[in-house]
Amino acid sequence: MTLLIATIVPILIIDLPFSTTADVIAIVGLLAIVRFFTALAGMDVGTSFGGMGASREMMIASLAEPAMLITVFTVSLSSHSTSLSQIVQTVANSGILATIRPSFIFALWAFLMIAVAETGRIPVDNPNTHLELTMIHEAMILEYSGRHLALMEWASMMKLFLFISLGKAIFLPWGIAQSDQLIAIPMALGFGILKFTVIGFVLVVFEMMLAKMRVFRTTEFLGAAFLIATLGMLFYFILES
Amino acid sequence: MTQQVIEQIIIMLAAMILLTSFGMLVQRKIYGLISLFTWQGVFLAITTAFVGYVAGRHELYISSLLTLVLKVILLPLILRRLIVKLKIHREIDTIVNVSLTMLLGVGLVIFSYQITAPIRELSTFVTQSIIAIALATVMIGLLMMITRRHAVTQIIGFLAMENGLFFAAVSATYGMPLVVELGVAIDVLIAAFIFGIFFFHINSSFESLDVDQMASLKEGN
Repeated sequence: MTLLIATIVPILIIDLPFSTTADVIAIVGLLAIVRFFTALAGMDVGTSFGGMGASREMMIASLAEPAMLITVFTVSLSSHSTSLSQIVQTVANSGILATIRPSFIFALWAFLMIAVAETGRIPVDNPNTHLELTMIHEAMILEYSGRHLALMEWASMMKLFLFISLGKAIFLPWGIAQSDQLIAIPMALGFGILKFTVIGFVLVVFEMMLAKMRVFRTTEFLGAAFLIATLGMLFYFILES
Repeated sequence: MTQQVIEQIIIMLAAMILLTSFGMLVQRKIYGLISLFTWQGVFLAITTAFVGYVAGRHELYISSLLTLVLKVILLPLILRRLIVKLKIHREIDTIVNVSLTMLLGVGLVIFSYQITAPIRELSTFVTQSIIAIALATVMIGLLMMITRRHAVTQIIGFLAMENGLFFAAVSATYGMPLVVELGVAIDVLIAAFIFGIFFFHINSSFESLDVDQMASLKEGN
């Protein structure tokens, strides 16, 4: 499933062969299916930890998903399309000045908060913890070992990679290859590696600075993300039309 | 700087003003509330100066300076001193339901967008689109006064409402006449002093600043 999403997200070039099959709403849906099966796998082992992790994951998911959809709508409003390639193309061609708009910046802000929650990083979830009170994603895959664990870890890392490249594609698309020229692809690769390095560095700095918040505080965190995304959408209608 | 860039900056600052009012709506700690109020004052002062520059109304610079002195320096200072004197700086206000309050706030934004539509169509100013934001700031300040129990947070809600009114005046008519503005500024300052005196009285007779305690004044309880 994660692999399927990876075929839709424009990482290096815009004109992807699979981009017409699914739009951003479908990506949110596919991510939900991934989460659903991970939760099932967590409950499958039959221990209490798996069920607890699954229920916590579902709590976060149910709050993060509407916020994610609103963010996607906000971004797609200005490009008049929910197709990811179309959105990226519009943003990439509009220049830096046109992106300093409240709706765009609020959408970026909400997206960062949701991405942190969905990929299970600090402050919502700690991917390295095995403390029973705090773990969410780890609790689900606690009983797995060997190649199954490797597959699950791989999937969750790929999810992080996808979220970073999704954010990078929508909000920082400059340097992405737009044409079929061969020279554009290595250039996009260079820009992409640079952006990944910067984003990874920022992620590490933030994880060092923050402490994990209480599980019941995540509802407020994601509520704030939802609020910011909704405000971004309203600002598009109020201030920019 | 070109006209378009400044308009974009004004729009961005208007968005930040509304965001700070939402922040105040859900902030529990009193100190956090005051710093958010200060930030709202900062954004308001910068917006006023930019609107004055775009519109060529130089008296708005004086309004901006007045906002900076009163709402960024003086009022937060008075509020902080009050909180230290009343020994409530670690107190946390209760909010009935954070997510419900947030949704009500979003509803108020849509509502004020709807009711300012006639003004927006008549107005020819560059600030015509932010009238709705200004009205929403007023309404959220009112909502904050309704949902809070603590006397100090209610007063901050009132001051946020006054910020919204000032913002509405700037965006709808490029500011009130300077005499009116000076009068309002002095009124707000005196109101802050009177509130301070009231706080001391409430605190000494009820030993709390929770306004629910005042229900015991009613007859027949």
